[in-house]
Amino acid sequence: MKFFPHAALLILVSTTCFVVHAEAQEWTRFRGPNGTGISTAKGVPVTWDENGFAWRVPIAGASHSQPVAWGDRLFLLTALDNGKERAIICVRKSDGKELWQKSYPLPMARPGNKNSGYANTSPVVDAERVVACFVSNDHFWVRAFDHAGKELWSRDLGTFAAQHGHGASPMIYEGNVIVTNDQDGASSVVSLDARTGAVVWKSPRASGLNPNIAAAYCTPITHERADGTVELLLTSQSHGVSSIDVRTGAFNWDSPVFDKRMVASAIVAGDLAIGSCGSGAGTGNYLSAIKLGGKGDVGKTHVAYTLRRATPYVPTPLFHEGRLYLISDAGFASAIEAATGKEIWSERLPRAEFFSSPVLIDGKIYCASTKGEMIVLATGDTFKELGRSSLGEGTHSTPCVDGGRIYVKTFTHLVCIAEK
Amino acid sequence: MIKPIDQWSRVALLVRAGICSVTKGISSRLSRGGLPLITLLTWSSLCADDWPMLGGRPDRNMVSGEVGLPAEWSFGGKTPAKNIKWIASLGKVTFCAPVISGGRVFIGTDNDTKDHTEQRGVMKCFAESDGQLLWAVTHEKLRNPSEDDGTIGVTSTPCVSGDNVYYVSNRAELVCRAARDGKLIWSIDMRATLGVMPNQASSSSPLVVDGRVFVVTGTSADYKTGKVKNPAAPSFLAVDAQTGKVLWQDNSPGARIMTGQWGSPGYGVVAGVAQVAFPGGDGWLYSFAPATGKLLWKFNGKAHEKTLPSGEPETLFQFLAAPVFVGDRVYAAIGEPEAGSGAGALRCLDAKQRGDVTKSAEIWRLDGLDFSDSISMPVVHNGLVYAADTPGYLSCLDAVSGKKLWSHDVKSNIWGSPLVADGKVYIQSSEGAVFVFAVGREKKLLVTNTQLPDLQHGTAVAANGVLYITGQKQLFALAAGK
Repeated sequence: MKFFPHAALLILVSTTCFVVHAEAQEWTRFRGPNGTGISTAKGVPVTWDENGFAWRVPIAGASHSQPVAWGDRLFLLTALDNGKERAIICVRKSDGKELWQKSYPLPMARPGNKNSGYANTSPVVDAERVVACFVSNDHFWVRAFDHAGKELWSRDLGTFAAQHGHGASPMIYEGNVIVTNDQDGASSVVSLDARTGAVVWKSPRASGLNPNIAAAYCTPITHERADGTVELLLTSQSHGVSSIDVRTGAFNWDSPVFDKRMVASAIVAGDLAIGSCGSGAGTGNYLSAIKLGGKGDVGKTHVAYTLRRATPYVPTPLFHEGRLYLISDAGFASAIEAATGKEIWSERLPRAEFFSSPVLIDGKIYCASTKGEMIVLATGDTFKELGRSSLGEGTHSTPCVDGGRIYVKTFTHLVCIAEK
Repeated sequence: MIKPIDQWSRVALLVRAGICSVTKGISSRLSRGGLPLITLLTWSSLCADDWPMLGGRPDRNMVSGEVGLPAEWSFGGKTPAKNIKWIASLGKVTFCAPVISGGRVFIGTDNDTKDHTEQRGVMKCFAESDGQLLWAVTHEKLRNPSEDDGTIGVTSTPCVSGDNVYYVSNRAELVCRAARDGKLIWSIDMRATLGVMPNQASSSSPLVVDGRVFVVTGTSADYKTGKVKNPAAPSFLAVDAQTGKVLWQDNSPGARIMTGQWGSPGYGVVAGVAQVAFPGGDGWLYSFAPATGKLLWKFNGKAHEKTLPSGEPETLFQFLAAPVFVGDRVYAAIGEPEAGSGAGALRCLDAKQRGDVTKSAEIWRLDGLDFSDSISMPVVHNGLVYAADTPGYLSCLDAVSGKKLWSHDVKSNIWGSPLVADGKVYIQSSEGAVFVFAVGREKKLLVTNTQLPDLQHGTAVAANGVLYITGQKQLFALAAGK
C-alpha cells in the first residue's frame, strides 16, 4: 500500500499551495491505493437517510467513471451528446461545484451492450497532472491536464476494437503513465512519460484465439517481486493473469487458463494473484488464484485453486486479513479463505446486482448496486449486512474514498456521503 | 388414426452475451386429427415418448410422461458413475436444450473447444441409443457481433416434425434439414429476404403444427441508435413446413420494439379454436389464428409498470419465454436479463377473449417482491404452477388462485425452465446444480445434484425413459440403473 512511489513526492505535495494532508491523497486512481480498493479512513457513515448526502450534484451526460481525488478536487469523465463528445470534469470536493470541464468530439458506434457506456474509465491524478483516456473505435487518446484544466499533452495510440467498448483506466508509476490496450485488434501495454506523453516502452500483447473476448478491462496494479524488481499485474483472456516489468515492459509470466473475457482487475492476496473471467450471461464465470513468482507460462504449474460458485465477472474482489471478499454481478457476497480457496460464507444480497467493485473502509465492505443502494457488510467469518442506504440513483461506478468521505458517480449524478 | 406429427422438443435459451441472453421453451404434442389437446396429454402421460421441440409439445407445458427417471446421479471423481447412460461432446457454449425424436437427439451449440478456427454456430445430431455423433452442420458467424454475438453459436432449440428438423441459425436463417443426415432442404435468410435485423442472438425456437412452421424472426432495435431501423420487417412468421414458402407474417411490434426479440411461439386449442401466441419485443403477447395470421387477441405485459417521466418504460422486460397453454389459459412471465433484475410479473391469462384483452384477460398475477423478472417457461401440473425467476427462486403456486405456496432460493440465476416428470420437479441453476423436488403443495427438496461438469443455463428434458441434462460442453443422458 505505497501511495507514493517517491518520498520526494510527499515533499512536493506538502509544499503545494493547497496544503493537504497526506491521507487525503489516498484515492488517485481506479480502486484507490494500488488498486486494492481499501481505505483506512475512519468515521465514514454506514447508513444514511434519504437526505443524508453531504451534497448531490448532476453531472452532464452519463458515465460510469469512478472519481479520483487530489487536494480539494475530484476528477471524473463523462460522455455528452450520447457519446459524440467526451469530457473530463473537475469538481470541488467541498460542495460538488464544477470548476472546469474539457470536452472533445469523439463519435463512435454505441457499444454492444447497454450496461457499458462511452465513459467507463477513471482518470489518474498526481501532484502535477491528471491523465485520462478518451477512446472510440478510431482513436485511443491519452490526454494529460494540469489541475486547472490546461491540456499538457495528448497522444493517440490508434484504433480500438471491442464489442463492449473501452473500460481500462490508466495508472501512474514513477512518473510514467501505464495504459493497457488489450483489445480485439492489435494489443499492447504502453508506458508514457507523464511529463510529455512520449512512449517509454511498449510491450506487445497477444490477441488470443478468440478475438471476441480478447478485449480486457483491467487496470494494472504493481507488486514487488522477490528480486526487488516491480511487476505490473494485469488480466486479459489472452494472457490470463500476467506480469510484466513496470520499468521496461519486459514479459515475466502469464497464466492463459481463463477461457472467457476478463473484466475485473488483478489483486494480490498474500502470495497469490487473483483473476476472474466470465460472461454477461453469467455462464461459466470462474476465479483462479495464481501463485506469484513464476516465469514464462505458469498456467500448468501455478494455479493454486479455481472457484466456480458466485464468482464475479465485472466487480473486482477485495483482499483483507487473509480473506477474499467476492461481490458477484448477480448479487451474491462471499468470503473465501484466500490461501486455500475454502468458502467461509456465501449469501444472497436480495434485490441487488453489481457492476461496481466493492471498497473496504475501516474493516467494512461497501457495495454500490446497479439499483442505487449502498449495501455495507461486515468483514470476518460471519456474514452480516450492516446497512443499506440510497444512492439516489443506480450506479455502475466504483466508489472513491477520500478524507473520510465517499464519492459515488451514479448514472447522472455525483453524490458525497459524509459524517454529519 | 391419431398420428402425432409434431413431437416434442424442449427449451431454448437464448443468450445475449457481452452479455448474452437466453430463452427457453417447451413443446407439446398434437394430432393432425384435431383431437382436444387434453386427450393427447392424457395419452402421452401413459407412454414413453419423444420430446421433439422446445417444451416437448406445442403447448410448451413441460410435463413429461416418463417414469423411472433418476433423481440423482454421479460422475467422475471418487464415486463410481451412477445413472449415466452416455455423454456426448458439444461445443464451448450451449444455451439451448436437446430435442429427441425418431431415435435421434438434436442440439445447437458452437464449435469444439479444440477447434481453434473461427467461432461458428453448430447443429449436432446424436444417436439416441448411445450418443454417437450422426451428423453436424456449421454456420459461419455474421461479421457484426451486434447481430451475432462473437461468443455464442446456435441458440435456437430445434423442432423435429416428420422427417425434418427446423431451427434458426446464428445468422437469422430459418433452416429446414433432413433429420436423417442433416441435408439442407430449404432455408430462409430472414435478414436478406425479410429485412430482419437481429440483436446479438437469433434464438427463437420454431414450432411446427399442421404443416406450418411458426417462429419469431428476431428483428430488433438498432444498437447504435436504440431505434427500430426497419419497423416493416416481420416479427412473427408462418412458413410452409415442406416448401419454406412464407404463408403469413406480422410486424405488430414494429417501431415499438424496445431492444430485441428472442422469444418463441406457443400453441393451443382454446374452446375449440387453434391459436399460436408470439412474445413481442414491445412487451405484448400476440395470439393469431394459425392458418390465416388473423389476430385473435393481444395483451400488454407492461400494463402494470409505470412510464418514466422521460416517456421510457420502467423496465425493458418483455415476454421472452414461450407462452404456455393449458386448457383455456395462457401462463407467461416477463423479463430480459440484460435489463437487469427487478420486480417482474407472472400471469395467468384467459385465452378465450378477443381483441386487446389487457384490461380483461388477466386471471391472476404474481409480481413485486413475490416474483422477479423471468425468462423461464412456467409449468402447470395437477393444479400447481412451478415457475422460476432470473434471480434464482423456484416458486410453486396454486394454479387457480395464483397464490404462492412455497419457493426455494437456488442461490444463482435461473434461465432454464422447470421440468415436471415422474412425480418430480427438476430445475437447473446457472451454477450447475440440478435441484430435484417432489411435486406438491408442500416444499420437499429431494436432491441437489452438483456433480456434472460445466453445467450452466440449461433445462432438463426427458424422453423415452431418459433424462437429459445440458452442460456448456457436454450433453448428459441419464437413466436409472445405468
